[in-house]
Amino acid sequence: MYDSHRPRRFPRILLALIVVAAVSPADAWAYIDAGTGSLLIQGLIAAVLGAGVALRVFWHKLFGRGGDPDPDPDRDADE
Amino acid sequence: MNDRPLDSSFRDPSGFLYRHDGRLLRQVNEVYLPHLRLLEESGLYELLVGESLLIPHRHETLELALTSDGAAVLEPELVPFISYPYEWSFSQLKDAALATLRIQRLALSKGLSLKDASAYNIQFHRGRPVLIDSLSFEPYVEGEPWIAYRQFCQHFLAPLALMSYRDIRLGSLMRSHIDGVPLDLAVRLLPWRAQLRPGLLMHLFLHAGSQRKHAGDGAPAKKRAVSRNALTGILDSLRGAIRKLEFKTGGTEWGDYYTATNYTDEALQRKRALVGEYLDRCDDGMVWDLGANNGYFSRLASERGRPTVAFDIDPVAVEHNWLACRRGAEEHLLPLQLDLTNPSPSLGWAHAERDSLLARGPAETVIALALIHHLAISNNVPLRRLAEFFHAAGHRLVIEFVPKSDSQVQRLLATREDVFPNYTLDGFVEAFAGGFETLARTPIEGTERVLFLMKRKGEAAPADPTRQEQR
Repeated sequence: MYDSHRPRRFPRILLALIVVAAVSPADAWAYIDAGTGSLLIQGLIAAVLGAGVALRVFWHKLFGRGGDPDPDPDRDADE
Repeated sequence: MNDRPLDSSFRDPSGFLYRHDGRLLRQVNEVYLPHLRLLEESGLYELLVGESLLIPHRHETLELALTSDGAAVLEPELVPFISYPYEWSFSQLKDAALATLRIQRLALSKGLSLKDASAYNIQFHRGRPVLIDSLSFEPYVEGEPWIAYRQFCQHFLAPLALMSYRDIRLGSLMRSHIDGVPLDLAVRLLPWRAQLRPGLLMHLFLHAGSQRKHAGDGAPAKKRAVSRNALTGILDSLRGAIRKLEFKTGGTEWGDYYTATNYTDEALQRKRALVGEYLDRCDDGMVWDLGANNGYFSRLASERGRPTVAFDIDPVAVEHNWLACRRGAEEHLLPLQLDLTNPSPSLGWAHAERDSLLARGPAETVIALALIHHLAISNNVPLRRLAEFFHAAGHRLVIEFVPKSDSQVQRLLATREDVFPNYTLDGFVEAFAGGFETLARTPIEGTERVLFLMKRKGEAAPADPTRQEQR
């Protein structure tokens, strides 16, 4: 059990991030097989869909409306 | 020390679950500790628990760690009954999928990402889909793809698309494929028109094609960076694809059972009152209603605050029951699909990763109303074997005997020879007398049926059988 008393919250988060970044490259944690074909198609789909999201962000910044670029998703499970 | 990791908890080197003095504990290994800190200190833990998307845990003393590489010990809140995706209705799987995507969106907003997206990591707790694996997070690294994308498509999108486009019964493919439906199989079974949905085209058809093309390749030589915007786009696309999938099926045999019974409203109310009285004579604890249909009688138990699982073979009945639970925000009722003539077996590595139905029991109380004639006559199970099954399933039994003269039994016998000379009230009583003591026996007025309350012989005050088998 580690210390739960955290008088200075933000620096601890920074420290944790630095430690994580220093000791654990992301690939080392992939205990499931991501699959080569799955990674490659994800990259392609990302290129297409990312453009749409970027456009949404641009639109939002330009006009301050037209949809939140990163909305808090609806509570899907409640629907 | 007799403690050892649970048989279902061995894949992830980040930690494992084990039992200690009857408690369920999770050891967090040294290697995962920075990530656990990030989960808790980033505010994500609080956010997810606040939205009932993650099972809450509390920290226990490290002295309870099972192995020397333990760096923290957690005690998660107990889920009364662990269920599996092949037991869920369409909308349960859909809700679990949407919950997973929402968790990933919220994780990204706090600088983390789900490192797996297994349907088995979601359980229905207090009427909601909840992630039970608090070791599923890793730091999000800008530009990295979502490592769990393949698993999400196999565990959620593929079975949901098959159930929606082809046949609701294809959900059972999750039982034969423990890591989700292989995408090549899914696209072979899906109709051509499914490709007209951009989400299914990308995440299933093109995805399966890419898997086929690169099968046997090593790690990609040049990995395309996936920006945060792009990852958000993928998550939104998956969410849209899943939300558009609908439950479609024709009428089934049992979906309208309570509008097609052979007795009057008065008799139904008398039966309802009687079942309630019998339940009041049972101890609190887990209730299994076998053959529950839409949960009409199950709610007599769940409304008494007892964790209740309403099993039925009919996917339409289970779907309607789940939707009713969701509408009513019911916390104590869990509808599940189950074929009692072939109940969920033990599955996975060493037959031990996923428990059979009976391994998840015994329940405190089993309800079996208007059921045994289906098992005894439609499935030719001798009454003595039925009694043995119920003996293994629960400590107390509320069971209805439906005689041959009943029109529902006559319907079952209409197209077959009556080879059931022992299927009589006396035969029933004799078969169950070996393992059970009858506490009450009441004819249901207005019908030819008899309701029994029984308890297993030699048991005074059964222990609470509520248990769980989290991953």
